[in-house]
Amino acid sequence: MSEGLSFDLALGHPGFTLSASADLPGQGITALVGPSGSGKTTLLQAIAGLEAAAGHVTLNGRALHPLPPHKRGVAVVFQNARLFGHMDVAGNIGFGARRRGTDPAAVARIVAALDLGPLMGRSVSRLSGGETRRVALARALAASPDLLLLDEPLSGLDAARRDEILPYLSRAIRAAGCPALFVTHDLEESLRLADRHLAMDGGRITGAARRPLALRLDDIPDDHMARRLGAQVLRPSQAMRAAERWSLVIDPASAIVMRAERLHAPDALILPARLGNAQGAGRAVEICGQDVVWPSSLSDFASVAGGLECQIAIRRPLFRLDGTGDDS
Amino acid sequence: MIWDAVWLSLRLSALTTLILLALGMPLAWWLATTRSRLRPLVEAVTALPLVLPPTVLGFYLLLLMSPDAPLGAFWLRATGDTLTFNFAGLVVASCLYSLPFAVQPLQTAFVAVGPGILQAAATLGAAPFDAFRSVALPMARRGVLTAAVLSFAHTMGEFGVVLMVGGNIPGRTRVISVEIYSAVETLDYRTAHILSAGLLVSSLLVLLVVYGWNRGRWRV
Repeated sequence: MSEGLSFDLALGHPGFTLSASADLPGQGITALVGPSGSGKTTLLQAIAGLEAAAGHVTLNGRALHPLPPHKRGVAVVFQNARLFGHMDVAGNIGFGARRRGTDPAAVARIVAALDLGPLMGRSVSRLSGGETRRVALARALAASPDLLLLDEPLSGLDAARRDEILPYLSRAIRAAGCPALFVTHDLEESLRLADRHLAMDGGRITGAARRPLALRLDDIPDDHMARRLGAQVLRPSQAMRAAERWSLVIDPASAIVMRAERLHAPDALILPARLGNAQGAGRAVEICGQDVVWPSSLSDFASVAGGLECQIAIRRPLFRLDGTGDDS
Repeated sequence: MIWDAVWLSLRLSALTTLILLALGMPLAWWLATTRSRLRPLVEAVTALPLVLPPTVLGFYLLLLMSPDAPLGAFWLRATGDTLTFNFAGLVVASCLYSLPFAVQPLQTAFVAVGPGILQAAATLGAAPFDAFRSVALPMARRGVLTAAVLSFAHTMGEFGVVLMVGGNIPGRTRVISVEIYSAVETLDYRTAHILSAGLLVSSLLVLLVVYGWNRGRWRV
């Protein structure tokens, strides 16, 4: 692939081997998901040149490997921000901008998009957690990167802070116009940010999907993530007993349902539907009724049957099993 | 006479401090960042003046810098003057003797900066030296100041090595500590008191400033 990001990297540490390859488009946000220790951060480090690895990395036809990190044009938003403590916010944001010759007007737009104007003269030691993350993102974007890597940039923040920052994050990354690879194991982050997903496990890419997330409900222990979404994982028997109005945010094979009144998804398409027969083996939920044709901009699903008892909320991306939406 | 010794000590300390910062910084950086197996050996050699009696160091330096030894002979050919019993010899000896006082605070400060922050600088387009100059060095500024102050103060007070390498030549190698020694030998307690009290108070002030910085009470 000449356009976009292409990598095939291998490295070995005691007890861990990374062997990952993928071709990604030249724009949009890709979530890199997988359990802890699956090699997500290591892969990001290798792409950025911060970890020695064998193989190749090309971005829009330009070979990045084995260039040193400062020549790759790959900016990284680290998990722990890594702001320069001896500089104020403006100094941090200007650091990469000066070295990469970013137009000051572009920097001003980034500062405005992330609402950092009032903080520019403040010492980074006096920033809140959310402000720190926004400054780290602005610093990376101001360097005019050809590729943006984000390593769990919202980790350690509580749900309220995350809610506060996610819109900034999404808007600023898309405005930058460069592809972004975003490591997360947070369901909500990937739901709200990513256009496509790479699943990773044991140091390997195990699935790729455009929009739909290759995620099994088995990956959601104790319904924890679903609760974070204000949802619950719907098991077949529960689906049959569901008398209230629910919103469905999952594919036909498994389901997360959400009380309609708790649904706060401004980017969701909400359509009427009815939970149907869930008795069939291997099918958690079956939706009966008339066919609904989904706008292609929201989903790859050609149609889903709709009914009356609940609402179907399609947020980006839909959940889907096993990377069946792989477009490669 | 007193002011000759004070001026000589100040010149020696200032020059030693500058040289130690210039040489100690790359050495400390290497020690802070290397994974080489040689690091413990280099650390031990660097720290040797902390535990070695000054006379031992002075004795070997005297042999090394004498006109019969390669280093001393080279210096004699190059400058027409001997390295021993000369100001230049004092500078060399002081640099070696005060080396750990410069390297160790610098190394500690560079370790505290950590590789992560330099990786961040690199991903923002900073080449390694640029990252060192614009990120690591400013972040380690307290360590740099501590190294400079300790090197200066330690050189101001050194005695054994100076006496061994430089002797006691007024205006040339007779620094404050040697002047005090000479004054006491001649029962000139007044001069000894003035110089000793001056060193005592200035050393106390210097240490107070260093500990103040390290506790972060005063911003630098």
